[in-house]
Amino acid sequence: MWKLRFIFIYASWTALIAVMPAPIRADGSINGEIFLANGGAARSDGSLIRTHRLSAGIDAVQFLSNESGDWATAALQLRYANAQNLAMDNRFDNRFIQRNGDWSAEIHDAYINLRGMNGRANLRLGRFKTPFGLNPVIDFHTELIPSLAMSNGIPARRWGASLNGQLDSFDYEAAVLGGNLRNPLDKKAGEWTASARVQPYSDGVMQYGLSALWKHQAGESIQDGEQRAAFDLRTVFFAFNGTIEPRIELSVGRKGGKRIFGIEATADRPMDPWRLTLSARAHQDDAWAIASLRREFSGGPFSLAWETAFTQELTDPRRPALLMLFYTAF
Amino acid sequence: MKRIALFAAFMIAAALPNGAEAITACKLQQPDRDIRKFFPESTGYKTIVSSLKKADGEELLQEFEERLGDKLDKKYEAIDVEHTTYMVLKDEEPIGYVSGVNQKGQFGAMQVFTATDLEGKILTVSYQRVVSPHAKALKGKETLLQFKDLTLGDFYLNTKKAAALLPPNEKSAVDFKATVRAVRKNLIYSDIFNLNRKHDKQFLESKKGKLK
Repeated sequence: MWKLRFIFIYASWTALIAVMPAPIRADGSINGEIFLANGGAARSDGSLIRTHRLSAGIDAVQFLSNESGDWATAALQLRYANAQNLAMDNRFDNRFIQRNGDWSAEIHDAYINLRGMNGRANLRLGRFKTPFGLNPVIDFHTELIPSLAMSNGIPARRWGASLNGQLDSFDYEAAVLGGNLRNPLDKKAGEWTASARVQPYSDGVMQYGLSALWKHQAGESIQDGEQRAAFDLRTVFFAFNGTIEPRIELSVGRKGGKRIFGIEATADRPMDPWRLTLSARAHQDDAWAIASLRREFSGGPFSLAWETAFTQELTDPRRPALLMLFYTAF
Repeated sequence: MKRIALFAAFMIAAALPNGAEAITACKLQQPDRDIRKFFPESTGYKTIVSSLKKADGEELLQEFEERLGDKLDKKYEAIDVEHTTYMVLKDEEPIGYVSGVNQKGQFGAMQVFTATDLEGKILTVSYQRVVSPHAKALKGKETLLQFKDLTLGDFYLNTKKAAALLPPNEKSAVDFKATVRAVRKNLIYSDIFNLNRKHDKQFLESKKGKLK
């Protein structure tokens, strides 16, 4: 069923762009992507795990316009992917999620954002990033370290609708999102999320956002739902003859009547073509420290990166540390 | 069946331009607000995406480098890199253009945007990203005002005004030079993609001058 849905979405999107009525103009880009991530992880207890994710897909963005200018942006990001042993959503976690290596279709973004009031009040419909914390503003697409939202179980992307806009003094997005319709058999299909994020305008290098989220599972009582509030901050500063790019996300709330929290503090140090990332993350049950070193090679139509990440769980030091080695071609 | 689907997916993906390169495209992060800031009287804009490869490939790349007087970086300024132009409208009539480019600075990548009128005359230059210990000086009003009213023709002919562009201080000279290169590069893109090579006349004139 989900395969039919996948084909239907791709076909409708392509048809929409292809048969656009004459007064409506579409401009943008359609890029293909082949992503090969192969690697292995060694635990400090000597055990080895082989991991991979292979995918092929497209990233497409189209700007739809008429005589008055752009009236909508349509985005589509589809993948046909195979992952084994390692859920890429949760790559830094010691507790590997077993995957059987089956191929599956994935819909990442599939939305249309209708512009209103010269960009002040837009309506987004489809599947898009949940506006919460750093999730909508950081692209984790080709990286080993995922967003805190992913590790905290906050839905990174869902189907739904949002009101969003760029006012003179701040950006905002408020969304109502449904369950995981990528796979309707998923137990999360009956989940509903309402979330909103506001980011005050800054012409400097420091940007911060405030978010709130309410998540509810069908069949649960209202008290068992999850409520969170978050503060996130990104900045860049100059030090040691280069830049350091820190980001922080802090969220607190209640889930099933219990207090929950999540915190991430990450710093990137680009040293072209190298990049060092140090990160510390914690939530109510666990804490991790991660160090990652990445190098990119590019030339011709493909890029290649290799990445080494070291992870140690802090709450239970008896759990083995993890050293991951990956090459990624994209 | 699965193998056929997989093969088809790989073939389609391989036939399309590579996504990783498109990542380096320079777009406004908040286009709605930024366009209103550049042109307060605007009522909308049209987004136009182009690239040297899409337009004319290798031949255009050579012409571009000749006009820039420098080679393009194979990573940050590759032939596939998309150039986004915002054609600014007021009541359905074009009133100007906004576009930006990536540029390697002394301490990292910078993103420089220019707003021009329909003739390609600079109205505003601004940084979307600049990472430098001299960022404050580079972003200073007086520094950026020097670019106002310049055209690509001024850069080609190295007119008095173009030659008088000065960094805010000695220490920021490398980043300022990169900024000037970025502005010139952006104007060349705009001249080729939006202005039907309006300033080629001055380019040819400058070439003749050099030959003399």
